Amino acid sequence: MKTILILMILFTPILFSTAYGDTTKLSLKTLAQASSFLLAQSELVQDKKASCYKSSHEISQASQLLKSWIDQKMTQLTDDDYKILKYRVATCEIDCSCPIYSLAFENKVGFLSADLKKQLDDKASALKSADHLKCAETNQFTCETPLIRALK
Amino acid sequence: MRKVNRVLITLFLGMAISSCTSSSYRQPSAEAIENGQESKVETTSQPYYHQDKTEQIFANIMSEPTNGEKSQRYEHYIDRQRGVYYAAQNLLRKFDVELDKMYKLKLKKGTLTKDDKEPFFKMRFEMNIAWAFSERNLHELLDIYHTVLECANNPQHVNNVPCNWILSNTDKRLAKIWKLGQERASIISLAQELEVVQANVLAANPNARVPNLNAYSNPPKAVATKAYQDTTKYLSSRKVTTLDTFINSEWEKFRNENNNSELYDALYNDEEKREPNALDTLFPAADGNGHVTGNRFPKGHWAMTFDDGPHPSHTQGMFTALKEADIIGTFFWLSQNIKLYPKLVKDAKDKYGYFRASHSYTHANLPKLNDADLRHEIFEASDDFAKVVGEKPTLFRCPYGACNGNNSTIRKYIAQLNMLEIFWNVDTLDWQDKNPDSIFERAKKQMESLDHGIVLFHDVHPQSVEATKLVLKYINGHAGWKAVPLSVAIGLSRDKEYYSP
Repeated sequence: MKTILILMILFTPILFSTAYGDTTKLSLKTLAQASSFLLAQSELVQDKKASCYKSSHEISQASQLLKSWIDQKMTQLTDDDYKILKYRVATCEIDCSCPIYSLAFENKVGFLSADLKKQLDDKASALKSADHLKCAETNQFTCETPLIRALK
Repeated sequence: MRKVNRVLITLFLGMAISSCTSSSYRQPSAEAIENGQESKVETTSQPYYHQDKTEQIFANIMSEPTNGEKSQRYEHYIDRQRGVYYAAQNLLRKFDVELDKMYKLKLKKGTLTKDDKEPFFKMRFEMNIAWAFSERNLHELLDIYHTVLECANNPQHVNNVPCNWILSNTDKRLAKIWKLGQERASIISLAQELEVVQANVLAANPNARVPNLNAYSNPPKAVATKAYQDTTKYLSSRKVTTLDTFINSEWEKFRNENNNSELYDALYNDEEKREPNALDTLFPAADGNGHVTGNRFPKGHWAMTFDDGPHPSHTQGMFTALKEADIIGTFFWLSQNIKLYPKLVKDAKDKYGYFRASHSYTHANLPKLNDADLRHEIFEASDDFAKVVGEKPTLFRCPYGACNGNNSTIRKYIAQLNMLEIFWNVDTLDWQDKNPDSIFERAKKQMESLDHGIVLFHDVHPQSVEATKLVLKYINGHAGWKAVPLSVAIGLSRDKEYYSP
């Protein structure tokens, strides 16, 4: 048992880094939820409340890393992927993923009808810090969520 | 400042220094050392600082029986003079360090109390004495060098042969000291001074033979910078010398005698005469000196920066928002977009007076690239930027802020192109937040806690334009705050202008 524990301790970081070594395997939905979590954390850290991050600087670093993953993900999205995203517009406010979907459609001009695009943009811009805080709970994101730990 | 210091030396320290000179010698600045070059002193050691003394020293050297012994005695003399010069130079550097500390403290606190200034004031006093010593010893040394040079180049001179012998050893001697390492910064400035003497000799006799000191007077920039940094490091372990003891006793005397005098107050309050190195530590370099975060900007100064454009619709919106707020922004653009929207690029400067900088070619994640791709993102980005802008960029921001840290290949390439690497200290997270109000609130909170710095926005998202308007309005309405162009804020941070196209 002791040996197993030692092995677990030794290999956990390796397994962890492998899991997030290829970030392209993460879905845009997951990345969008992580983005929402970071926005919530940003609010907490600035109000000097308990946050996974010590400072705005740390949040900024995490945000830039996440941005690189999202940008990379977007280059790989196919039209079929966008079709799926299109259907998610109707419910994106539930997990606060609208802003990142909106970002994705910024480079996909004409894919969404004007009405649907407006609906998405309105939903995205209506999300406030309080909403992101709630979504963190809904999405079951915590400081210990592997993706969030990988962003630190 | 130098002249003022000289006056102060004359005023206060005449009793301490037997003879202050009227020479044209200047203390070589840290910047000059960092840049590997000292702007040549206008003229120089007009011979002689103290002619009788020079003749006497020269006669003593030549009184030795053999050329080898003459050369040895000359070196012994030079070493002694150089030793005092070096000790004085160290005190000058120590002064620079204290000056930096006080400058940074002032940035932090706004106003300094008399207690804050006390250590600096003492250091200024030390520096004045050190400078006078340095100057006196340097001039004795330069005068002897001048005499030896003239003698070596005059075949009729009775000591022509030993003088040539001595000169031929100068190079070897300098090389030996150079190898030791810790005196390099002083050797650089000394070699520059010796070259001025050589220039005078050559002016009188164009065929004169003089040692080539270029390797010491003008070393590669990296070597010069390291030499200066090393010297600063050695300061902490420097042994106390008789010069220190002398200075301390003079300081106590001066303090007791002048504590209530007007001159004492004048010294205390002459901040405008300060020249802290901290002001000049930003320049294109792969180390910390080439990295700008905005944390060293003067209090209340903000630089607004915008990344990732130009964008066919949102960049123009940003132009208008800035114009309405009467604020000059700096745009970090991708060369692939610059090529697509050249009119926006030209309008930025020509119509609005905004500044343009490089943000790579395609917004690639630089640490992930191989060398060829990295060069494309930095070097070709700069070339294609210049094709549209007409000039190469002088500021670079790594995509995702990812430059791999100080002294990385990325940073070396950026420095190689003579660009500063720009970061930020206020991240609005405007790319991931679509709500302009919450973006503004986030920026506001960070700005309130920092009081100065660089704000990061993107000119490729609609919400960024709206949030920028709110931030600009907030800056304009905030007492004691103002938004200035990034290059201006950098210039203020180092007390020397920084150009950006």
